[in-house]
Amino acid sequence: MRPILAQQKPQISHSPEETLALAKKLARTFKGDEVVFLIGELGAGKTVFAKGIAAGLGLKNTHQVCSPTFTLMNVYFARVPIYHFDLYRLAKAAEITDLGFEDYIGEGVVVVEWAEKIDFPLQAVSITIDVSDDEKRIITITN
Amino acid sequence: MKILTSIQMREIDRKTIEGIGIPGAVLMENAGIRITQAILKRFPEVAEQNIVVVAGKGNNGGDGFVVARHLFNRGARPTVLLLAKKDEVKGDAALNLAVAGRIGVEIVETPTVAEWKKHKVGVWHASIIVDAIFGTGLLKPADGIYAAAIEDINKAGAFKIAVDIPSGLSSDTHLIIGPAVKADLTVALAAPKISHVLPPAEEFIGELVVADISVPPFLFDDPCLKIELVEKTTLAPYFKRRKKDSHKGSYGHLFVLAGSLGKTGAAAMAARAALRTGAGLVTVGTPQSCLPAIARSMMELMTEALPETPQKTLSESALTMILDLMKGKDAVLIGPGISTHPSTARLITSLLPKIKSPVVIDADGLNILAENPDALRSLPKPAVLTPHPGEFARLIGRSNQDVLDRRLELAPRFSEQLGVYLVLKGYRTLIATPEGRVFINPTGNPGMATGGSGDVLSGMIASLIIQEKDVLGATLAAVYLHGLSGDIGARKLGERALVAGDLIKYLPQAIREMEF
Repeated sequence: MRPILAQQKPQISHSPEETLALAKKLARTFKGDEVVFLIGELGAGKTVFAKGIAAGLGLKNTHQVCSPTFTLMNVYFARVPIYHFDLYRLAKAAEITDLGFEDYIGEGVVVVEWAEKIDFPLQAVSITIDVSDDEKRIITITN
Repeated sequence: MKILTSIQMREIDRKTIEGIGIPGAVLMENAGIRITQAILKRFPEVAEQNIVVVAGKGNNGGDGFVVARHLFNRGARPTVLLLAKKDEVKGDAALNLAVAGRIGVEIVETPTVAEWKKHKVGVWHASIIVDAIFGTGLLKPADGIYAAAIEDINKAGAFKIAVDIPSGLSSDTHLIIGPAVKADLTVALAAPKISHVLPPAEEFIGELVVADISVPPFLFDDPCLKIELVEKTTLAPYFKRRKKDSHKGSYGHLFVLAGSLGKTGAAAMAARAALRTGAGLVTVGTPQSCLPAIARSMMELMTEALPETPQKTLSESALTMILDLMKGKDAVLIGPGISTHPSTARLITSLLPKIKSPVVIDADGLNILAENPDALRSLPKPAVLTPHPGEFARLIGRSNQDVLDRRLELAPRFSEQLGVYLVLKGYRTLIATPEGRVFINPTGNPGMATGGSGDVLSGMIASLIIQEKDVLGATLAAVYLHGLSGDIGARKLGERALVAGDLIKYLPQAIREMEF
């Protein structure tokens, strides 16, 4: 994975639109085989960020980008396939491997919500979204 | 009506409070009012009732304090048992706790099991219990004082009303995660959740009322809300009165490929149900020796004798004849009673890729597909598959229990990956679409668990598909109507005695109910 051109210092977003724009800009620098971890509490904007990544990868109709709450994985076809995971409902690490998670790495861009549940080492771009007291989002990108 | 997860509900609450600006306390007041209204409807002389509100320290308890206040205003004297210390209650719940106290509502702190035990006699003497312990955020089994309270509430003879969801259930799974209140009435706030509609959790709900607490309806238009409860009102377009200037051709011609020795009833029921559901014409293609039994079952059916194997099942040599018969047909139903004979299986797998019309695949048609994954992966579209859980388990190579426990994950994934509509039959039948949407059907009863019920359904689905352009709408309408007919039959005959033929018998009445 080549280094991401995005900043390491935290960025502030004042709205879902800003979060989306930030994610879109980041995804435009993607090679197409990145793994992205989305970390943040409920309502922080992980799915909004995922929408932005999809938009940055050229996905036309971002309405289809939804948290795959029950199906656990959604696939979207942009300039590369995007594999969107939501690990919220998974209690055990074994369930994550059951998903066949690792098969998708390298096949496209893998985006994981609630990535905190992954307990095995994985090369990934980590996006942490913190909610400040006045409802702003502090977005930190590390890889 | 959309069915939400607790996360989706929290997100909509957040958008309502922060985005639209309706204060949380206003939503809580609306919830309390709706629950009070539900109580008053069932107990008009509420002042005479002995009411206990069992409250947790969260917002569910807060809703309970509002209910207690409104009941007090009507002359009742409810007791609130708070499973916490008063100062542990925060936010809008704390606001309403204080207000209830100032009005004169009796609030008793029972923060420990020992304290609770002193007051549980009051619970047992109550005529109405309002369960306001936990709302939809619960992730792990109730324990300690909560489990004790739930157990004592369940032992009581009172009429039990659950605020939003019976305490102890998790809103995001239909499985029972721990001890839970068995409610007589549940008032779901703003929208139903999974546990309100799917069994086994659904058995704890009692009567379900969905309360409007003034969340703006457009927030539910989000395309990410993919699970819906089928409602009678949305099916109205499929039960319009017929145009006067129409003829049988206006209502399509269905081809049914069904039947084998000993299983002619399946074919007859599917075809008969299709005609009763309004198909213009129905032709049954069946093994030659099975034809008389099917032809005699209903005068209005047309039948075609097809080459058969020595075991009297459809033979693969029937392929050319079938392709010829399918010309001019608007849809084909494959499967009821055809058996899984190897020659029949070869026939079906050769036939499927050549079909140009909508296809409904049921019963042995599905069992054949389960053994032929290539055929499954290259089905003509649109295709509607109608398995029961056992058949679905075979199709996807999982256990029956897995299918039942993980149906909300497995059904839409199957539909999306293969590009087919899936009707997963059972109590609260589930319909999944190639776009990943899931619909849950509310009609039907256990009396319909009887042989042939599925054949009737497949005939009804195929029949509505040829009458309507919209495959999804036709399928939803057929499943709803099938359940409705079963409910009418169960009212007249009782559940145990109900047989599949009764589902066809009460179909006319069910259709009339839909037309109004």
